[in-house]
Amino acid sequence: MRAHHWGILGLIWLGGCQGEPPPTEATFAAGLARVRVGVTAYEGIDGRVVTQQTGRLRDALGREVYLRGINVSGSHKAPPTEAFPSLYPLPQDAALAARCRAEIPMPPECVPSRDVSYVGRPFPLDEADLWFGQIAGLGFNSIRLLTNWESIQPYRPGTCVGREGYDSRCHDLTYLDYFEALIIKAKAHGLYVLIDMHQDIFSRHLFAYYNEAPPYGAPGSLEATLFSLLPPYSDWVRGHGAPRWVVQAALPEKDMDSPYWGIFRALGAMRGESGALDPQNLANLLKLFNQLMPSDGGGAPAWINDAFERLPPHFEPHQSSDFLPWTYWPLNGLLSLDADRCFAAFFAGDEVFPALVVDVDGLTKRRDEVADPAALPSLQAYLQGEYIEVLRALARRGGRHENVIGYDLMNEPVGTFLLLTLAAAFIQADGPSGLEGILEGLLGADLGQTLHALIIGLNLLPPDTAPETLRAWGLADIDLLASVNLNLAFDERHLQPFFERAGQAVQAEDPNAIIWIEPGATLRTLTGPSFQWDSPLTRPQGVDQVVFAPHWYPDIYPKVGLNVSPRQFNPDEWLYRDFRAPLAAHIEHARAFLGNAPVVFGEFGTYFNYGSHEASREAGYETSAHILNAYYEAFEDLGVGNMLWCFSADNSAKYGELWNHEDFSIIDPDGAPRAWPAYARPYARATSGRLIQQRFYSQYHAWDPVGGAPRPDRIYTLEMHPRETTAPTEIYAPQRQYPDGFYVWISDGGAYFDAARQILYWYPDAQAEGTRHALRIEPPRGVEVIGWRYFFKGDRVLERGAR
Amino acid sequence: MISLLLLAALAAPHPLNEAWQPPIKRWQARGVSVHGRLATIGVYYNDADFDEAPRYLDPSGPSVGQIATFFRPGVTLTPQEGTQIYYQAELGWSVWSQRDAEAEGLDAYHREIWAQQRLDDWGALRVGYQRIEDPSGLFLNHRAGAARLTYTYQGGELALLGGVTPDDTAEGLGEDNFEHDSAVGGLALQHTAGGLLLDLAGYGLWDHHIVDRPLTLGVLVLGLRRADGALWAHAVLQRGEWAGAALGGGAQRLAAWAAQAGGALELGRLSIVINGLLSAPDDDHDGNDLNAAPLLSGRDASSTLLLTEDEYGDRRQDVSARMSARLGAFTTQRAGRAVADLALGYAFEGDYVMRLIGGAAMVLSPRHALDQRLIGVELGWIHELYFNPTTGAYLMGQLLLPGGAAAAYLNEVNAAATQPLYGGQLGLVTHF
Repeated sequence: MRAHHWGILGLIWLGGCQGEPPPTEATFAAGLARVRVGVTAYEGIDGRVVTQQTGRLRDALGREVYLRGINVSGSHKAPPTEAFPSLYPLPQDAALAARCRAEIPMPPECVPSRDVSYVGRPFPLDEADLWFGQIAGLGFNSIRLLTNWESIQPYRPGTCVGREGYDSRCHDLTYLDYFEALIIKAKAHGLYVLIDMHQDIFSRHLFAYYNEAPPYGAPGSLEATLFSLLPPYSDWVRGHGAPRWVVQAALPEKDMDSPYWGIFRALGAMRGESGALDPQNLANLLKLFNQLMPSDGGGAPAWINDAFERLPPHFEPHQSSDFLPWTYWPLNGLLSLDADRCFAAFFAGDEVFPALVVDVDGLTKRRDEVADPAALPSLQAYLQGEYIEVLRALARRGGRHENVIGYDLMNEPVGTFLLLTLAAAFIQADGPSGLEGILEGLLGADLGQTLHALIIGLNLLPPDTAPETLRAWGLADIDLLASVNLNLAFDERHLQPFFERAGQAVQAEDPNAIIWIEPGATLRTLTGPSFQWDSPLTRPQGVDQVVFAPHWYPDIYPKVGLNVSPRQFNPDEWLYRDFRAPLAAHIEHARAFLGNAPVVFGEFGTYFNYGSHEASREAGYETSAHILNAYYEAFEDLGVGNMLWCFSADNSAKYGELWNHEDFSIIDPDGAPRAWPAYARPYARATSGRLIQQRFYSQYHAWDPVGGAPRPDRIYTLEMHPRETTAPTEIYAPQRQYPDGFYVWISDGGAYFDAARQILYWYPDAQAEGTRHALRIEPPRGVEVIGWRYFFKGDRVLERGAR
Repeated sequence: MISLLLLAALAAPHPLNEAWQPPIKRWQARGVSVHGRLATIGVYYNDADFDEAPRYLDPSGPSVGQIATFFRPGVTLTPQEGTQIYYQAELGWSVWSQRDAEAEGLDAYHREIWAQQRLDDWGALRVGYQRIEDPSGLFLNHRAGAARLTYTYQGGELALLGGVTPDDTAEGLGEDNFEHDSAVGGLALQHTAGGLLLDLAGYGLWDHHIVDRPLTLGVLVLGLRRADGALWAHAVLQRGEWAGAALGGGAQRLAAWAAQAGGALELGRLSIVINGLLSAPDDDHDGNDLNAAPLLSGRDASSTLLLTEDEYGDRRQDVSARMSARLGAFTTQRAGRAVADLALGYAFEGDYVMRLIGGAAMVLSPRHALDQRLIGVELGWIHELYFNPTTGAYLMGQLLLPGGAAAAYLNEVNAAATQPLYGGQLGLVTHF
């Protein structure tokens, strides 16, 4: 070899060595390993193996996983085939659109198509990389991907022959393909997916129209409330979840094709069939008004004639529902008999409606109306059977993907049946006469009689308890005792068995499935557990992996009423709130009743329109940020996972997530994240050892300085027990919080930073009894920082100190 | 006598230098030799980093300074001819403003404990906790438990070394074993040819102190020196593998180098010492399959006292040490380093030596120093006064003009601030 060859070799050694770029992508992908519920097993005193859940989630790499997720999305609650805005699919023709708003009954050309497809909700597949990228960039490691019964089975089983893209159960295969493609897209962005069978107040086909701009009164006043119920209608409040055919099955006497469907039922009785005002109801209304508001001089208010003119034509009770357009929409779960009947049919139809079966034609009938009732499924068996088949279809898709972390069997199941119980009691107490006696006793003879006459006259309750009347009202077959019991032990007697059936079915399709369950919205939710006869939700048997996923929404909703304005808070009303105690109660429930199932709060969130959308935006969403920060600080202190409500790609200033004016999306109408300092916060996505505590001090942290200590601005700390795996602890370290880089202190081991994904990989290596691995992150902030081990800024790294 | 001492003191190490020891009679007949070094050193600097922001919760401001005393007693026992036992301890760093002699215990460290046996006329075996050093001192320059077998032949010396570098890895409950130790071993040849010494050494490092992430390193040291110490040049080449060190848990190849060259010239009363040091930077990627920054001892031949180790009282507070990461007993600097320095010494009449030290350092890969290159420029002005051959006092004034690279690593408040650091030392050192 010549001399210059040696020289070249020397140069290569001296300065030319470049390795391959670090395997950030592979490391990131490997980090998204299958998650399971942690289980510990040991030999008991009698030699048998005792198995216990650890109350934590673990991935296939042996790490504890902490879910910081977000619900995707709030605007899933209506199909994209239903055009924006959220009222009717208004025609493009402005004149026709005006007619559609004003004319009652709605002109036939305004009636929306019954074709339903949810493909494209939460967003078109070609936008998935954009939005999932944004979600991952904001630090979320998981999504609660919403779907619902109607998305998968929009049409009644057996009616899809000839429809392309549907199987024999009318499962929308095109939608399932789309949904599975979303799961795959999410994986590419490092997102775990919780498949969520969502519903709110049962179905979007239960709804109530209202006028957003009543011409009289201030928001919340009597006249504004009254005119909100009258046409012209500009919006609606509704549920979502179950398809139309399910609602029809649960409410078989209803004429859902009626042009009056969605108008508050009482209004249909204000006019007679001739179109003239009903004199009896009119007189009783005026009388009631005078009795309630004697100070107004006894005369009719000025707006009363306008109100009468706006009244819709006469229609029968079965042509609409008793839904009301409460701004605080969950009230319909408490105050709608129709919603009660739907939930009762689904969860407890065998007890509450024992006479109902579903015929081979798919219609709900009485047992005495069919030839062979024993061969037919009960209403409950039919509904739950189809629902569980939908879950099976999802599990077959989800089971193929490592990033699926489970199945939320049903969102916020309603387990309060007050109106159903009252209706049953009404019938049992001999109907109107019994009610009249009760009202007279409570309110006095005069007012009681007036009110009673109105309740009956306005079709709020049936006029009598004759069998044919009760059948027409769908109340013929209610079992009173079962209705009462339904309120007392819903979680234990109805929800838990349903979770067992559904959970076992899902795990039959996806053996790795984790079953996520939520408590019912029951009387127990309001009253708390009772000491002597408590009936809590207990662990579903026969299901080997369970996560408890309660929701958390404290005092943020609009007050009771129609067309009520958003709440208004000062930021300091939230600055000092500490939610640890109420959140800990949920954790205690999991420990006490659910076999120490891991707890992940499946929903929590805040409005972003306090005061108004504009005012909130003008203030930099400060109140919303304080609220979220208070939540996250509590979650961090308790070490529980959480999934924020929500991300909605098509958020609108006026309509929010396009459903009931909810405006919870973390991105605003132009797609920019709002109040991000509260949630784009560092956290450990997965830890090599058991977490002791992690905490981030955001700019919204309530700070009470001590001894001149500098504000703990954007400091993150993590502490954990000895590592149990060589896999790294992954910490999200956002560029948004640390635009000028960040210092890292570690007790042991080494760390690398994937700047593109904003993930700090920490490989702790100390391994001694009693080891407590610790990590701290601080940004450069004008105060002295001593003893740091690393400084990361983008892809630049400074390393010093001992390893 | 004093003049001869001063001339001897011009080239490092000199009696005020930490590395200097009085000559010990070798293989003397049975006897005991007691020796030691006692130093009192006062230091003051205007700042610990390069901005004037006060330290958190420190009302005294950003300056640093203290006066402290320490004592290194040693004893050499010769129980019989050809056998030696050596012990050296360090007592203190007793800080005058902090130590309460009545309330606190003894700060004591065993620096060296070893026994040495002469093997006929051809060599010696030394076993114990001792100073181990490769020919360059760049890779091995430690005190560690080791066995060193030396074979002496007419043209030079061959030394076989095996030892364990200390680590803090817990290996069981109050116990220890060999699972997670860091072992080093090698063979060093020092061959004399004419007035030149040829150094050729190879070492292996098996560092298991990090559980599950063993490091294996081969080190080749090549060097050439003049026998009289007037010239030196060494290169250190390292190849190896660090299991589990890459992102994702993969192995990291180690391929690194360092080099040092210098010379000392005496022109009557004037001495001139120059030195240049290079250590390779890592490649552009953190956590990838290659680590190109060498593992070094952290000690070198540079005369600088702020940029590199302080030979008057090394407490590992120099810029290089603070900029480096430590892996077990070794240091590494991903940005790499180039240090060049010049030391002038002049022995005046009487007992007085004045030295001027100037040096500059920069990183070789600004990418690993937030795109900054200059570490700093150092100036030092040292006055030494000798009372006798083993006792002297010194006074030095120092100035460091830090560069952006040093600021990035060391500045505790503002990584862009590069305000000058100045200060000095005052010391009284005596040996016996």
